[in-house]
Amino acid sequence: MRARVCIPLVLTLVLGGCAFTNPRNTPALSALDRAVRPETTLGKAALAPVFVPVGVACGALDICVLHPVRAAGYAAADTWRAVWADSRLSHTEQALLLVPKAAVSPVVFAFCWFGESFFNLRPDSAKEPR
Amino acid sequence: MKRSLFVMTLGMLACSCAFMNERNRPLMNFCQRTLVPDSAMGRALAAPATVPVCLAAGIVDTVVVHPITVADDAWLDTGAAIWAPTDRGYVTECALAPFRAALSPPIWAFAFAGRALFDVPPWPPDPARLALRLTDEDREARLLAAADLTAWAYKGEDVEPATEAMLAACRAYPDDVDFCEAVLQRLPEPLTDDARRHLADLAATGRGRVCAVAIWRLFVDSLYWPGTTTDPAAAEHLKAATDRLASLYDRLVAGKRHEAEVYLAKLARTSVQYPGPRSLALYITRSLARRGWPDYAGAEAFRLQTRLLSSAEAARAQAADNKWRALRLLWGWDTMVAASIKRRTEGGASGRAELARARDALADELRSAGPGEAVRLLELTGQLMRATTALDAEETAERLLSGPKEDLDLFLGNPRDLLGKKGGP
Repeated sequence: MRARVCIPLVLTLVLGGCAFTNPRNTPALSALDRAVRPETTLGKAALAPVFVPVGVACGALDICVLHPVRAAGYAAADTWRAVWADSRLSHTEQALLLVPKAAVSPVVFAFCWFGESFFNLRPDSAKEPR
Repeated sequence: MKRSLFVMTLGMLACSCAFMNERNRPLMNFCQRTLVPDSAMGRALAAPATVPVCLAAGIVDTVVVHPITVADDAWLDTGAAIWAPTDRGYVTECALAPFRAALSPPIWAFAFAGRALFDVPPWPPDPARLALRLTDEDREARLLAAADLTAWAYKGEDVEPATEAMLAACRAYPDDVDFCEAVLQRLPEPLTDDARRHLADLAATGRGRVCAVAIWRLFVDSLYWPGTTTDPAAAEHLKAATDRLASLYDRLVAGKRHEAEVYLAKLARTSVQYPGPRSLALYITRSLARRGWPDYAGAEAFRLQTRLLSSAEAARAQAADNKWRALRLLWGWDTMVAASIKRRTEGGASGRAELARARDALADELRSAGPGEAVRLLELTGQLMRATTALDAEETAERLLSGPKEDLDLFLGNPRDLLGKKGGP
């Protein structure tokens, strides 16, 4: 019962900041939006039987494949900055920390990748020209 | 503990229950209007018959009529929640359509249940329906529609037709002051040209509550504009709105509409922190100075200047031109005038000669202050300012008491109340 109440609540909260709310995170859909622009209502209605399934498929492709793949790059960069990029340490210190850093890296990467894939963490990019 | 919590929650919910608002009980209202006699005796005698009927009507309202009337509002809620365009493109809209369609029934059911059970303000009707509701022959229905306007906001392409509907209703019932007041207060933003003209004409009459509300609505138009303050269109709009108010002020002065003139000055003073009202306040001060500081506007002129001095650089330059009038008259001058008027109307003697003597004595003392007496110089200057203020207050009180009673009332009273009492539409 508790889960039944919590799930919609969490879903509502999360959807507001979901990755797909930013057009930059749905490249296939955005490309189609730019390419297909029916002007008249008749044209929109006529194209709907084609573009409803196409749109859903493109959205799914964006959410499940394209955006996560791109998010992996962001996550790797974040992991590098967070774990490996600190050059103030001496060679000895770096050698000492090599193993713990290697152990932590997958966890940090997974955390960043999850965040980048599911949430709109770069909202400013929505303002960039599409 | 659980029981008391349950009762408390129920009580809180019942306060905002749909049936608590008479707007949601049309059948019961109809029964009350037609069946219940006006006299107390008649009501008591008819109670055994009318109470069950009204009660049954209330139940039908709650269970059937009200839920049916909110069904379309629940659709509008659903539309606003999930069908609002994303502005991303045609294919995105197509991709979202199946999910929106799937979510619509549960969201509609949720909205419907909420609206059926609780007193949620209805969605604004389209302008054509609004026009019908505002021109209803039944005054009660008209007033109810006007009251609903407080919960509605017309935007975008609805602004012009909704404004037209509201102005047409005011023109159709110009003598219904309560109705016109409620409608004019809620004219949509931004004001259309027709609305501005209509309001300016009403404001220029200088009589009645409708005039007061017209001045207020035009004034609100000069306060802010949707969007950023750096937006050139916003700056242009605010400039035009302020200049229109300045022209209105001149019309009121020329027409000797003293209450309306002072009310506009009061509005400018209370919002002097905004650029538009600040400009208007400076304009009004200049006008008052040119007219020799008329006594009826004395209290407002004094407050206006003191507010301006603390908030506008330009006011200091203007104050120098006005021989620092607001500073010369110390803070509290207006209360001194009011006290003097009260004393004189209760039969007290004039203290003018005595105050003049005291002031002259202080001035002599100040002139004779010797070298190295810095502290004494400061004390004497303060005393002289207080004495000068008291003398000025006494003289103003005497002039007001010997002048027209309207001027005295305006000096002492609230210009909006006096404007409302002046009669007219």
